[in-house]
Amino acid sequence: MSAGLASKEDRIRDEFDRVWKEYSAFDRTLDALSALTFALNNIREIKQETELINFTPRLEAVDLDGARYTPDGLVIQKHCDFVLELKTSWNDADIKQIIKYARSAGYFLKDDSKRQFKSDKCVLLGYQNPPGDERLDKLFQAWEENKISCPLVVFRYSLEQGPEERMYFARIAHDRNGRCPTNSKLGQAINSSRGFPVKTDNYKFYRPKFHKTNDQVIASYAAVLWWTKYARHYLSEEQKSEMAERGRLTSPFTILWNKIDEVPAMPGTDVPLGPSDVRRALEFLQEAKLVKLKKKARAFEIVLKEDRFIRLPQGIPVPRAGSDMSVKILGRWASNRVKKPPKKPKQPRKIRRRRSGGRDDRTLPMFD
Amino acid sequence: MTNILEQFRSWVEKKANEEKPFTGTFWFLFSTLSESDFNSALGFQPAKQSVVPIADYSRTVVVRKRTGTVLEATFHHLPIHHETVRILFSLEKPAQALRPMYHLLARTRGAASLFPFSHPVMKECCRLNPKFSLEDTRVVRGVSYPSRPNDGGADINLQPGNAATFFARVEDEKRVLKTATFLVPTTADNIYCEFKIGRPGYLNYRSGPFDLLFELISDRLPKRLATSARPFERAKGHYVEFRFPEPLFVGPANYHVVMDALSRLPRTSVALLHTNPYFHAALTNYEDGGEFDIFITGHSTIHVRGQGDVSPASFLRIQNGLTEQFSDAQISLEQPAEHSFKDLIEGRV
Repeated sequence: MSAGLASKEDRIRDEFDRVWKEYSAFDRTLDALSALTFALNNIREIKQETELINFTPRLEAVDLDGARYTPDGLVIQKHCDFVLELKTSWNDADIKQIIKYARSAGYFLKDDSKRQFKSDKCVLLGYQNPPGDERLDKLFQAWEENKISCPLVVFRYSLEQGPEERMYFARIAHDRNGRCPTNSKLGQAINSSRGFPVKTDNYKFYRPKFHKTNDQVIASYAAVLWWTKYARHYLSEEQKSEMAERGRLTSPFTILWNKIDEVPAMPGTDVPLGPSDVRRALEFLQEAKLVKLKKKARAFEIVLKEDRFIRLPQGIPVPRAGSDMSVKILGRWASNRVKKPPKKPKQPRKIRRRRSGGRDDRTLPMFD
Repeated sequence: MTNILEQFRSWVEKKANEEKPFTGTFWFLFSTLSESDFNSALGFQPAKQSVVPIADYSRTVVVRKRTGTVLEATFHHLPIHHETVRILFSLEKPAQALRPMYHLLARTRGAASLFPFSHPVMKECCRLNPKFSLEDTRVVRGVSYPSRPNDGGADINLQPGNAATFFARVEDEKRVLKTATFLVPTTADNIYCEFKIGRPGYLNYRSGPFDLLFELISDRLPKRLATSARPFERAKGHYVEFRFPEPLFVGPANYHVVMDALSRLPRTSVALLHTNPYFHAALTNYEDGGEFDIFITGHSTIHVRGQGDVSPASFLRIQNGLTEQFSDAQISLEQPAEHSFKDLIEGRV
């Protein structure tokens, strides 16, 4: 009995550790975006050469590829255009994705008008956990096979601890790694053999602008942000006054499935959560038992409450900084995942009805 | 003006003698709006034949709770204000009027908010006559929050006693005082003014001589509150820096004290986005709708950035929470500085 319980607790802790690591890694990617924003806006020479900074860019698709591409950043400078993509760690799909970005001929402005890239274009691909040489060989091999003329520069970004915390950017030393055009100060900084750091104290000014990267947010991060920052904006005046007085709602507010697209605007945020992120956040919160899914009503029901009314499940290690909503949400999710795993939807039994007079397709026709 | 105030003072005192317990409550609001915009934002109408002698505008707010209970309160605008501090008056019990007050404020979308009373302000209020010490003030009833949110959601009634002992106990146990009812000596030892003060930003006069309390309400308190909000009036679009005299946050191990201070703020949600090596938390205060990003990137500073139109009163709530935990901080506004390319390459950025 006790051995069984212990193993359950271990599994909860393992799930929590895993989801917590993923959450922290995603936050560091947003840190990297903030640090680059600082460099683009607050380094005099880089600011002077930069004409456009967009962290929600849309690139023209290649051939009949359909949807527009959404890399994490686009920096248009006087002499050179940069396409930026940040990754926590390697994924085999990265190769295909980054080649698409490189082959794209133009980008869209806010008014939906299209502009062509300059001939001096550069693709920047950043990794938090650098891929090994073997993977990089594969990446550069594909780059060469696709005969892409612009350089691909792979770099590493990491948060370094010392007397002052700094986000550090450094070009990866690999024989086939590209170099940024040297007519750009930003390019020179990335090419620099020592790399360049940006102190946390500096890039914090831009950190609240990012709730996600352009094309991605992990469900746990979206859930914490949605609960803390977005949920309040869905309340009616009556519910706001109830929260102000009691710190909890007496009746839930609902978000209909077909209204999920109406995400409240977040002032001061350049890359806010979008409809699909909100859906993922609500699903994660549902698994953490903070949100109810009402399938018949086709709605999510939320009883918003302040932190003191939300319990941290047993067995979740309280971080040194103390328990907060992120620990509670992630902890509840991990606990419920082990104790009450989501049931797999039943596969409907394939029953083939034979229509009267229909052809029996279990056998091949004898003559055709 | 003095005559009008005197007229109001004697009316309140007379009412308090007639109605026991008297429920007249003064609400302290922060707003940078002009008088006419303030009245229009709150939906006030000119007060014709008002029951309150000097009230120029008023509005009745009705809130129907889900349980069917109806809460109704009429708020009267008094022609007393100091800089950004405005005073409303209601004749309902605070418990009945608080929800309608939040309802009234919700429609202003942050343009007006209650002025939070910090622990030191509440302590100062219980001395009306400098001749008497804190030990001469009696606490009839005190309600406090437990110091940590995980200690439960219930309020705790403190044992009444003298104010010096009462405040010492609240401070020692690091509780957040929600309301306190005092019997404060006015002119002589056995003549007391009874009133209740609420952390959200109200003062409820009950009985006894009103002149010294009215002086506090109409003069000392508005001035004190206006001064405390001044550093935050230009905070929009800036980072507010709280600089402490000593290095309090030498490493992540010290961050729990900040979390402790933030978690003790009632009606809030705090989520840590980052704890190691630096500290970044998102905080939402449901009381006034204020949303903040809070950073610790140095050993003795906390940086707070409000999202959108955050009211200075909302910043004041954060400051109250932090100063209850730490010593008083120097406050300044901060914006990102410009650097050269050489600085970047040589690692000085």
